[in-house]
Amino acid sequence: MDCREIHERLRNHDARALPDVQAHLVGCAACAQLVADEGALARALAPDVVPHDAAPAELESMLGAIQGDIAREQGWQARVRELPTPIRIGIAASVALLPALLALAFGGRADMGVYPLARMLLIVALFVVIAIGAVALGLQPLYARAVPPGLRPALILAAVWLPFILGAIPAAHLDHPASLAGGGADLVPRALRCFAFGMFIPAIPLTILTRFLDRDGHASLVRALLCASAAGLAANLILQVDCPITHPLHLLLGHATIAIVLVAAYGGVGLARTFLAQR
Amino acid sequence: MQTDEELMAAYVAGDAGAFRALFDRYAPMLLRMLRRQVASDADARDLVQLAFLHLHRARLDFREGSRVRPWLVTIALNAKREHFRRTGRRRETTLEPERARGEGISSSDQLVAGEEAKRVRAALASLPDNQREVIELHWFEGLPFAEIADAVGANVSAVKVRAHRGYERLRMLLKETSNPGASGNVLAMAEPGDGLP
Repeated sequence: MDCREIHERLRNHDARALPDVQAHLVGCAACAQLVADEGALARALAPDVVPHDAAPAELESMLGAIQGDIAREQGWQARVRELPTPIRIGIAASVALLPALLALAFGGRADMGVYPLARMLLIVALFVVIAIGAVALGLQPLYARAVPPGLRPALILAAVWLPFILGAIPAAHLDHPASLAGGGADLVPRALRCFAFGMFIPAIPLTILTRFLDRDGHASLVRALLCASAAGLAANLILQVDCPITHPLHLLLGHATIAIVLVAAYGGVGLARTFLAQR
Repeated sequence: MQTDEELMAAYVAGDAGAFRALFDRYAPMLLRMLRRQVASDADARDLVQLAFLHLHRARLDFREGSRVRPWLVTIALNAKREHFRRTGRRRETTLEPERARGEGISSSDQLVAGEEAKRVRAALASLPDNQREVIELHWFEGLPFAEIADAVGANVSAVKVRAHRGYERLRMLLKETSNPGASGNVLAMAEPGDGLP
Protein backbone atom coordinates (compact mmCIF):
# COMPACT_ATOMS: atom_id res chain seq x y z
CA MET A 1 0.00 0.00 0.00
CA ASP A 2 1.37 3.45 -0.86
CA CYS A 3 0.58 7.02 0.20
CA ARG A 4 -1.91 7.49 -2.63
CA GLU A 5 -4.01 4.53 -1.55
CA ILE A 6 -3.98 5.76 2.05
CA HIS A 7 -5.11 9.20 0.86
CA GLU A 8 -7.89 7.62 -1.19
CA ARG A 9 -9.19 5.78 1.85
CA LEU A 10 -9.00 8.92 3.96
CA ARG A 11 -10.91 10.87 1.34
CA ASN A 12 -13.59 8.20 1.59
CA HIS A 13 -13.73 8.75 5.37
CA ASP A 14 -11.99 5.47 6.08
CA ALA A 15 -9.34 6.06 8.73
CA ARG A 16 -9.38 2.53 10.10
CA ALA A 17 -5.98 1.21 11.09
CA LEU A 18 -6.19 -2.00 9.08
CA PRO A 19 -3.05 -4.15 8.96
CA ASP A 20 -1.97 -2.90 5.52
CA VAL A 21 -2.48 0.71 6.65
CA GLN A 22 -0.49 0.05 9.80
CA ALA A 23 2.31 -1.45 7.73
CA HIS A 24 2.50 1.71 5.63
CA LEU A 25 2.37 4.03 8.64
CA VAL A 26 5.39 2.35 10.19
CA GLY A 27 7.56 3.81 7.45
CA CYS A 28 5.58 6.99 6.63
CA ALA A 29 5.39 9.57 9.39
CA ALA A 30 3.59 11.97 7.02
CA CYS A 31 0.62 9.66 6.46
CA ALA A 32 0.61 8.89 10.19
CA GLN A 33 -0.19 12.56 10.78
CA LEU A 34 -3.10 12.32 8.35
CA VAL A 35 -4.50 9.24 10.03
CA ALA A 36 -4.06 10.61 13.56
CA ASP A 37 -7.09 12.00 15.42
CA GLU A 38 -9.32 9.62 13.45
CA GLY A 39 -8.33 11.18 10.15
CA ALA A 40 -9.52 14.66 11.11
CA LEU A 41 -6.73 16.45 9.26
CA ALA A 42 -7.43 14.47 6.10
CA ARG A 43 -11.07 15.51 6.25
CA ALA A 44 -10.07 19.12 6.81
CA LEU A 45 -7.87 18.98 3.71
CA ALA A 46 -10.74 17.62 1.62
CA PRO A 47 -10.45 18.53 -2.07
CA ASP A 48 -13.11 21.21 -1.89
CA VAL A 49 -10.88 23.55 0.11
CA VAL A 50 -8.83 24.02 -3.04
CA PRO A 51 -9.85 25.59 -6.33
CA HIS A 52 -11.79 23.47 -8.76
CA ASP A 53 -10.38 22.07 -11.96
CA ALA A 54 -10.11 24.21 -15.04
CA ALA A 55 -12.89 24.11 -17.61
CA PRO A 56 -11.98 22.52 -20.96
CA ALA A 57 -12.52 25.85 -22.74
CA GLU A 58 -10.09 27.54 -20.34
CA LEU A 59 -7.44 24.89 -21.00
CA GLU A 60 -8.00 25.11 -24.74
CA SER A 61 -7.51 28.87 -24.60
CA MET A 62 -4.28 28.44 -22.61
CA LEU A 63 -2.99 25.86 -25.08
CA GLY A 64 -3.74 28.25 -27.93
CA ALA A 65 -1.78 31.01 -26.18
CA ILE A 66 1.20 28.69 -25.58
CA GLN A 67 1.16 27.47 -29.18
CA GLY A 68 1.14 31.12 -30.25
CA ASP A 69 4.16 31.81 -28.01
CA ILE A 70 5.97 28.79 -29.44
CA ALA A 71 5.16 29.83 -33.00
CA ARG A 72 6.83 33.18 -32.26
CA GLU A 73 9.98 31.39 -31.06
CA GLN A 74 11.75 31.94 -34.37
CA GLY A 75 15.09 33.32 -35.49
CA TRP A 76 18.60 33.21 -34.08
CA GLN A 77 17.65 34.44 -30.62
CA ALA A 78 15.27 31.52 -30.12
CA ARG A 79 17.88 29.09 -31.43
CA VAL A 80 20.53 30.47 -29.07
CA ARG A 81 18.41 30.17 -25.92
CA GLU A 82 17.24 26.69 -26.92
CA LEU A 83 20.80 25.39 -27.12
CA PRO A 84 21.51 22.63 -24.60
CA THR A 85 22.49 24.09 -21.24
CA PRO A 86 26.12 22.84 -21.18
CA ILE A 87 26.66 24.55 -24.53
CA ARG A 88 25.07 27.81 -23.39
CA ILE A 89 27.23 27.86 -20.27
CA GLY A 90 30.28 26.86 -22.30
CA ILE A 91 29.79 29.76 -24.72
CA ALA A 92 29.42 32.27 -21.88
CA ALA A 93 32.42 30.85 -20.03
CA SER A 94 34.53 31.03 -23.19
CA VAL A 95 33.66 34.68 -23.71
CA ALA A 96 34.48 35.37 -20.06
CA LEU A 97 37.87 33.66 -20.19
CA LEU A 98 39.03 34.12 -23.78
CA PRO A 99 40.15 37.79 -23.50
CA ALA A 100 42.33 36.94 -20.51
CA LEU A 101 43.80 33.93 -22.31
CA LEU A 102 44.54 36.08 -25.37
CA ALA A 103 46.17 38.72 -23.18
CA LEU A 104 48.37 36.01 -21.65
CA ALA A 105 49.14 34.60 -25.09
CA PHE A 106 50.42 38.03 -26.12
CA GLY A 107 52.73 38.23 -23.14
CA GLY A 108 50.50 39.38 -20.32
CA ARG A 109 51.38 42.14 -17.87
CA ALA A 110 54.83 43.73 -18.10
CA ASP A 111 55.66 42.88 -14.48
CA MET A 112 54.73 39.20 -14.74
CA GLY A 113 58.33 38.20 -13.99
CA VAL A 114 58.32 39.89 -10.59
CA TYR A 115 54.68 39.44 -9.57
CA PRO A 116 54.42 36.83 -6.78
CA LEU A 117 53.32 33.67 -8.58
CA ALA A 118 51.25 32.21 -5.74
CA ARG A 119 49.29 35.45 -5.36
CA MET A 120 48.69 35.63 -9.10
CA LEU A 121 47.49 32.02 -9.27
CA LEU A 122 45.22 32.44 -6.26
CA ILE A 123 43.62 35.61 -7.64
CA VAL A 124 43.13 34.14 -11.11
CA ALA A 125 41.67 30.92 -9.65
CA LEU A 126 39.22 32.86 -7.47
CA PHE A 127 38.13 35.05 -10.38
CA VAL A 128 37.68 32.07 -12.69
CA VAL A 129 35.81 29.89 -10.18
CA ILE A 130 33.44 32.63 -9.06
CA ALA A 131 32.83 33.91 -12.60
CA ILE A 132 32.08 30.43 -13.97
CA GLY A 133 29.93 29.61 -10.95
CA ALA A 134 27.97 32.84 -11.36
CA VAL A 135 27.44 32.36 -15.08
CA ALA A 136 26.41 28.71 -14.59
CA LEU A 137 23.81 29.67 -11.99
CA GLY A 138 22.74 32.67 -14.02
CA LEU A 139 22.00 30.43 -17.01
CA GLN A 140 20.60 27.53 -14.97
CA PRO A 141 17.41 26.19 -16.54
CA LEU A 142 14.17 26.36 -14.59
CA TYR A 143 13.92 22.58 -14.35
CA ALA A 144 17.21 22.38 -12.46
CA ARG A 145 17.25 21.40 -8.81
CA ALA A 146 17.26 24.28 -6.37
CA VAL A 147 20.63 25.40 -5.03
CA PRO A 148 21.15 26.33 -1.37
CA PRO A 149 19.27 29.61 -0.80
CA GLY A 150 22.34 31.66 0.11
CA LEU A 151 24.55 30.54 -2.76
CA ARG A 152 23.39 33.04 -5.38
CA PRO A 153 23.65 36.13 -3.14
CA ALA A 154 27.01 34.84 -1.86
CA LEU A 155 28.40 34.60 -5.40
CA ILE A 156 27.13 38.08 -6.28
CA LEU A 157 28.65 39.56 -3.10
CA ALA A 158 31.92 37.71 -3.69
CA ALA A 159 32.11 39.01 -7.25
CA VAL A 160 31.54 42.58 -6.09
CA TRP A 161 33.76 42.55 -3.02
CA LEU A 162 36.69 40.39 -4.08
CA PRO A 163 38.22 43.03 -6.41
CA PHE A 164 37.78 45.64 -3.65
CA ILE A 165 39.50 43.43 -1.11
CA LEU A 166 42.36 42.78 -3.52
CA GLY A 167 42.71 46.52 -4.06
CA ALA A 168 42.67 47.25 -0.35
CA ILE A 169 45.43 44.83 0.68
CA PRO A 170 49.10 45.89 0.35
CA ALA A 171 50.49 46.08 -3.18
CA ALA A 172 51.83 42.80 -4.56
CA HIS A 173 55.18 44.41 -5.29
CA LEU A 174 56.85 47.70 -6.23
CA ASP A 175 59.72 46.16 -8.15
CA HIS A 176 58.87 47.09 -11.73
CA PRO A 177 58.77 50.58 -13.26
CA ALA A 178 55.46 49.86 -15.03
CA SER A 179 53.87 48.98 -11.71
CA LEU A 180 54.62 52.34 -10.14
CA ALA A 181 52.36 54.37 -12.40
CA GLY A 182 48.70 54.91 -11.64
CA GLY A 183 49.06 57.26 -8.67
CA GLY A 184 48.99 61.05 -8.34
CA ALA A 185 48.17 62.84 -11.58
CA ASP A 186 48.06 59.51 -13.40
CA LEU A 187 45.38 58.10 -11.17
CA VAL A 188 42.23 59.21 -12.98
CA PRO A 189 43.38 58.83 -16.61
CA ARG A 190 44.87 55.39 -16.08
CA ALA A 191 41.97 54.23 -13.92
CA LEU A 192 39.53 55.42 -16.59
CA ARG A 193 41.50 53.58 -19.28
CA CYS A 194 41.40 50.32 -17.34
CA PHE A 195 37.73 50.83 -16.47
CA ALA A 196 36.82 51.39 -20.13
CA PHE A 197 39.00 48.50 -21.30
CA GLY A 198 37.49 46.05 -18.82
CA MET A 199 33.99 47.31 -19.39
CA PHE A 200 34.06 47.26 -23.20
CA ILE A 201 36.23 44.23 -23.89
CA PRO A 202 34.73 41.44 -21.82
CA ALA A 203 32.11 42.91 -19.47
CA ILE A 204 29.46 44.52 -21.67
CA PRO A 205 29.70 41.91 -24.47
CA LEU A 206 29.37 39.12 -21.90
CA THR A 207 26.41 40.83 -20.25
CA ILE A 208 24.65 41.18 -23.60
CA LEU A 209 25.51 37.62 -24.61
CA THR A 210 24.17 36.12 -21.37
CA ARG A 211 20.93 38.02 -21.87
CA PHE A 212 20.44 36.11 -25.13
CA LEU A 213 21.63 32.82 -23.64
CA ASP A 214 19.28 33.15 -20.66
CA ARG A 215 16.03 31.37 -21.52
CA ASP A 216 14.20 34.02 -19.50
CA GLY A 217 15.99 36.96 -21.16
CA HIS A 218 17.20 38.25 -17.75
CA ALA A 219 13.61 38.67 -16.59
CA SER A 220 14.81 37.27 -13.28
CA LEU A 221 16.73 39.89 -11.31
CA VAL A 222 18.88 37.33 -9.48
CA ARG A 223 19.90 35.62 -12.72
CA ALA A 224 20.69 38.97 -14.31
CA LEU A 225 22.80 39.99 -11.31
CA LEU A 226 24.70 36.70 -11.43
CA CYS A 227 25.53 37.27 -15.09
CA ALA A 228 26.51 40.89 -14.40
CA SER A 229 28.75 39.70 -11.56
CA ALA A 230 30.40 37.18 -13.86
CA ALA A 231 30.95 39.91 -16.45
CA GLY A 232 32.50 42.18 -13.81
CA LEU A 233 34.87 39.43 -12.74
CA ALA A 234 35.76 38.62 -16.35
CA ALA A 235 36.82 42.27 -16.68
CA ASN A 236 38.89 42.04 -13.51
CA LEU A 237 40.43 38.82 -14.78
CA ILE A 238 41.77 40.34 -17.97
CA LEU A 239 42.99 43.42 -16.08
CA GLN A 240 44.70 41.18 -13.54
CA VAL A 241 46.73 39.44 -16.26
CA ASP A 242 47.26 42.53 -18.43
CA CYS A 243 47.57 45.68 -16.29
CA PRO A 244 50.93 45.95 -14.52
CA ILE A 245 49.91 48.71 -12.10
CA THR A 246 49.87 47.62 -8.46
CA HIS A 247 48.87 50.95 -6.89
CA PRO A 248 45.90 50.20 -4.55
CA LEU A 249 43.94 53.31 -5.58
CA HIS A 250 44.27 52.36 -9.24
CA LEU A 251 42.99 48.86 -8.52
CA LEU A 252 40.08 50.22 -6.52
CA LEU A 253 39.05 52.91 -9.00
CA GLY A 254 39.93 51.33 -12.33
CA HIS A 255 39.33 47.63 -11.72
CA ALA A 256 37.06 47.01 -8.74
CA THR A 257 34.42 49.52 -9.78
CA ILE A 258 33.54 47.58 -12.94
CA ALA A 259 31.67 44.78 -11.15
CA ILE A 260 29.91 47.15 -8.81
CA VAL A 261 28.80 49.46 -11.64
CA LEU A 262 27.39 46.52 -13.62
CA VAL A 263 25.65 44.99 -10.62
CA ALA A 264 24.32 48.37 -9.48
CA ALA A 265 23.02 49.14 -12.98
CA TYR A 266 21.27 45.78 -13.31
CA GLY A 267 20.05 45.95 -9.72
CA GLY A 268 18.64 49.44 -10.23
CA VAL A 269 16.79 48.46 -13.39
CA GLY A 270 15.53 45.25 -11.79
CA LEU A 271 14.33 46.96 -8.63
CA ALA A 272 12.58 49.63 -10.68
CA ARG A 273 10.82 46.89 -12.68
CA THR A 274 9.85 45.07 -9.48
CA PHE A 275 8.56 48.32 -7.97
CA LEU A 276 6.46 49.01 -11.05
CA ALA A 277 5.14 45.43 -11.11
CA GLN A 278 4.11 45.63 -7.46
CA ARG A 279 2.20 48.90 -7.87
CA MET B 1 -0.71 4.73 -24.03
CA GLN B 2 2.61 6.50 -24.51
CA THR B 3 4.57 7.37 -21.40
CA ASP B 4 5.44 10.99 -20.62
CA GLU B 5 9.02 10.33 -21.59
CA GLU B 6 8.02 8.80 -24.93
CA LEU B 7 5.85 11.84 -25.60
CA MET B 8 8.72 14.17 -24.72
CA ALA B 9 11.09 12.25 -26.98
CA ALA B 10 8.51 12.49 -29.77
CA TYR B 11 8.21 16.24 -29.21
CA VAL B 12 11.96 16.70 -29.31
CA ALA B 13 11.88 14.80 -32.61
CA GLY B 14 9.35 17.31 -33.97
CA ASP B 15 5.93 15.81 -33.19
CA ALA B 16 3.79 18.80 -32.16
CA GLY B 17 0.93 16.48 -31.19
CA ALA B 18 3.09 15.09 -28.40
CA PHE B 19 3.28 18.56 -26.86
CA ARG B 20 -0.49 18.78 -26.85
CA ALA B 21 -0.71 15.37 -25.20
CA LEU B 22 1.68 16.48 -22.47
CA PHE B 23 -0.32 19.66 -22.03
CA ASP B 24 -3.58 17.73 -21.73
CA ARG B 25 -1.98 15.44 -19.20
CA TYR B 26 -0.36 18.02 -16.93
CA ALA B 27 -1.84 21.49 -17.45
CA PRO B 28 -4.86 20.78 -15.19
CA MET B 29 -2.61 19.58 -12.38
CA LEU B 30 -0.23 22.53 -12.67
CA LEU B 31 -3.09 25.00 -12.85
CA ARG B 32 -4.71 23.49 -9.75
CA MET B 33 -1.39 23.57 -7.91
CA LEU B 34 -0.62 27.17 -8.84
CA ARG B 35 -4.15 28.41 -8.14
CA ARG B 36 -3.66 27.46 -4.52
CA GLN B 37 -0.51 29.51 -4.28
CA VAL B 38 -0.63 32.69 -6.35
CA ALA B 39 -2.72 35.80 -5.95
CA SER B 40 -5.09 35.36 -8.87
CA ASP B 41 -6.33 32.83 -11.39
CA ALA B 42 -4.88 34.96 -14.18
CA ASP B 43 -1.42 34.72 -12.57
CA ALA B 44 -1.84 30.94 -12.25
CA ARG B 45 -2.76 30.63 -15.94
CA ASP B 46 0.21 32.81 -16.93
CA LEU B 47 2.57 30.65 -14.88
CA VAL B 48 1.25 27.43 -16.42
CA GLN B 49 1.77 28.93 -19.87
CA LEU B 50 5.26 30.00 -18.85
CA ALA B 51 6.02 26.50 -17.56
CA PHE B 52 5.07 24.91 -20.88
CA LEU B 53 6.97 27.58 -22.82
CA HIS B 54 10.05 26.73 -20.75
CA LEU B 55 9.45 23.03 -21.38
CA HIS B 56 9.60 23.87 -25.07
CA ARG B 57 12.74 26.01 -24.70
CA ALA B 58 14.47 23.35 -22.62
CA ARG B 59 13.47 20.40 -24.80
CA LEU B 60 17.00 19.88 -26.14
CA ASP B 61 18.20 19.44 -22.54
CA PHE B 62 15.92 16.45 -22.08
CA ARG B 63 17.95 13.28 -21.68
CA GLU B 64 17.06 9.64 -21.63
CA GLY B 65 16.38 8.61 -18.04
CA SER B 66 14.92 11.99 -17.07
CA ARG B 67 11.29 12.12 -15.98
CA VAL B 68 8.92 14.68 -17.43
CA ARG B 69 6.53 15.20 -14.52
CA PRO B 70 9.14 16.31 -11.95
CA TRP B 71 10.67 18.49 -14.69
CA LEU B 72 7.38 20.27 -15.28
CA VAL B 73 6.57 20.60 -11.59
CA THR B 74 10.04 22.02 -10.89
CA ILE B 75 9.68 24.52 -13.74
CA ALA B 76 6.28 25.59 -12.41
CA LEU B 77 7.54 25.93 -8.84
CA ASN B 78 10.58 27.92 -9.93
CA ALA B 79 8.44 30.13 -12.15
CA LYS B 80 6.15 30.72 -9.17
CA ARG B 81 9.09 31.64 -6.91
CA GLU B 82 10.36 34.04 -9.52
CA HIS B 83 6.87 35.50 -9.84
CA PHE B 84 6.78 36.09 -6.07
CA ARG B 85 10.19 37.75 -6.16
CA ARG B 86 9.04 39.98 -8.97
CA THR B 87 5.60 40.92 -7.72
CA GLY B 88 5.75 40.24 -3.99
CA ARG B 89 2.22 38.85 -4.20
CA ARG B 90 1.05 35.60 -2.70
CA ARG B 91 -2.31 33.90 -2.43
CA GLU B 92 -4.46 35.88 -0.04
CA THR B 93 -5.85 33.84 2.81
CA THR B 94 -9.13 35.69 2.92
CA LEU B 95 -10.41 34.75 -0.50
CA GLU B 96 -14.09 34.29 -1.02
CA PRO B 97 -15.21 30.70 -0.50
CA GLU B 98 -14.90 28.51 -3.55
CA ARG B 99 -17.93 27.53 -5.55
CA ALA B 100 -20.82 25.90 -3.75
CA ARG B 101 -20.19 22.35 -2.69
CA GLY B 102 -23.16 20.86 -4.45
CA GLU B 103 -26.85 20.45 -4.53
CA GLY B 104 -28.85 19.40 -1.50
CA ILE B 105 -26.76 21.44 0.92
CA SER B 106 -28.46 24.31 2.67
CA SER B 107 -27.07 27.82 2.32
CA SER B 108 -26.12 27.91 6.01
CA ASP B 109 -24.18 24.65 5.59
CA GLN B 110 -22.48 26.14 2.54
CA LEU B 111 -21.55 29.19 4.58
CA VAL B 112 -20.05 27.06 7.34
CA ALA B 113 -18.21 24.92 4.80
CA GLY B 114 -16.90 28.07 3.14
CA GLU B 115 -15.67 29.41 6.47
CA GLU B 116 -13.94 26.11 7.22
CA ALA B 117 -12.34 26.03 3.80
CA LYS B 118 -11.08 29.55 4.41
CA ARG B 119 -9.63 28.52 7.75
CA VAL B 120 -7.87 25.53 6.20
CA ARG B 121 -6.49 27.69 3.40
CA ALA B 122 -5.23 30.19 5.97
CA ALA B 123 -3.51 27.37 7.88
CA LEU B 124 -1.93 26.07 4.68
CA ALA B 125 -0.78 29.55 3.73
CA SER B 126 0.90 30.01 7.08
CA LEU B 127 3.19 27.00 6.57
CA PRO B 128 6.78 27.61 5.48
CA ASP B 129 6.98 27.43 1.68
CA ASN B 130 9.08 24.28 1.63
CA GLN B 131 6.57 22.38 3.81
CA ARG B 132 3.57 23.73 1.97
CA GLU B 133 4.93 22.76 -1.45
CA VAL B 134 5.59 19.22 -0.29
CA ILE B 135 2.13 18.85 1.28
CA GLU B 136 0.43 20.18 -1.82
CA LEU B 137 2.28 17.73 -4.05
CA HIS B 138 1.86 14.82 -1.64
CA TRP B 139 -1.75 15.19 -0.52
CA PHE B 140 -3.46 17.23 -3.20
CA GLU B 141 -1.61 15.95 -6.28
CA GLY B 142 -0.79 12.47 -5.05
CA LEU B 143 2.85 12.49 -6.16
CA PRO B 144 5.16 9.89 -4.59
CA PHE B 145 7.95 11.21 -2.36
CA ALA B 146 10.63 10.27 -4.90
CA GLU B 147 9.07 12.56 -7.52
CA ILE B 148 8.43 15.31 -4.99
CA ALA B 149 12.10 15.13 -4.04
CA ASP B 150 13.06 15.54 -7.70
CA ALA B 151 10.65 18.43 -8.13
CA VAL B 152 11.68 20.45 -5.08
CA GLY B 153 15.39 19.64 -5.34
CA ALA B 154 15.83 17.78 -2.07
CA ASN B 155 16.46 14.19 -1.10
CA VAL B 156 13.62 11.84 -0.25
CA SER B 157 14.37 11.80 3.49
CA ALA B 158 14.32 15.59 3.68
CA VAL B 159 11.02 15.69 1.80
CA LYS B 160 9.46 13.12 4.14
CA VAL B 161 10.56 15.17 7.13
CA ARG B 162 9.08 18.33 5.58
CA ALA B 163 5.80 16.55 4.96
CA HIS B 164 5.64 15.15 8.47
CA ARG B 165 6.42 18.51 10.05
CA GLY B 166 4.01 20.30 7.74
CA TYR B 167 1.11 17.95 8.51
CA GLU B 168 1.92 18.11 12.20
CA ARG B 169 1.94 21.90 12.12
CA LEU B 170 -1.31 21.96 10.16
CA ARG B 171 -2.98 19.76 12.76
CA MET B 172 -1.78 22.07 15.52
CA LEU B 173 -2.87 25.20 13.67
CA LEU B 174 -6.30 23.81 12.92
CA LYS B 175 -6.72 22.68 16.51
CA GLU B 176 -5.70 26.09 17.79
CA THR B 177 -8.12 27.92 15.55
CA SER B 178 -11.00 25.48 15.89
CA ASN B 179 -14.17 26.34 17.72
CA PRO B 180 -15.43 23.15 19.34
CA GLY B 181 -18.98 24.50 19.49
CA ALA B 182 -19.28 25.12 15.76
CA SER B 183 -21.22 22.47 13.92
CA GLY B 184 -19.10 22.79 10.79
CA ASN B 185 -15.78 22.57 12.55
CA VAL B 186 -13.48 20.45 10.43
CA LEU B 187 -11.92 18.79 13.41
CA ALA B 188 -15.27 18.13 15.05
CA MET B 189 -16.92 16.58 12.03
CA ALA B 190 -15.70 13.04 12.59
CA GLU B 191 -18.48 10.56 12.22
CA PRO B 192 -18.69 8.01 15.04
CA GLY B 193 -17.89 5.18 12.67
CA ASP B 194 -14.98 6.94 11.04
CA GLY B 195 -12.46 6.48 13.74
CA LEU B 196 -9.80 4.04 14.58
CA PRO B 197 -11.03 0.97 16.41
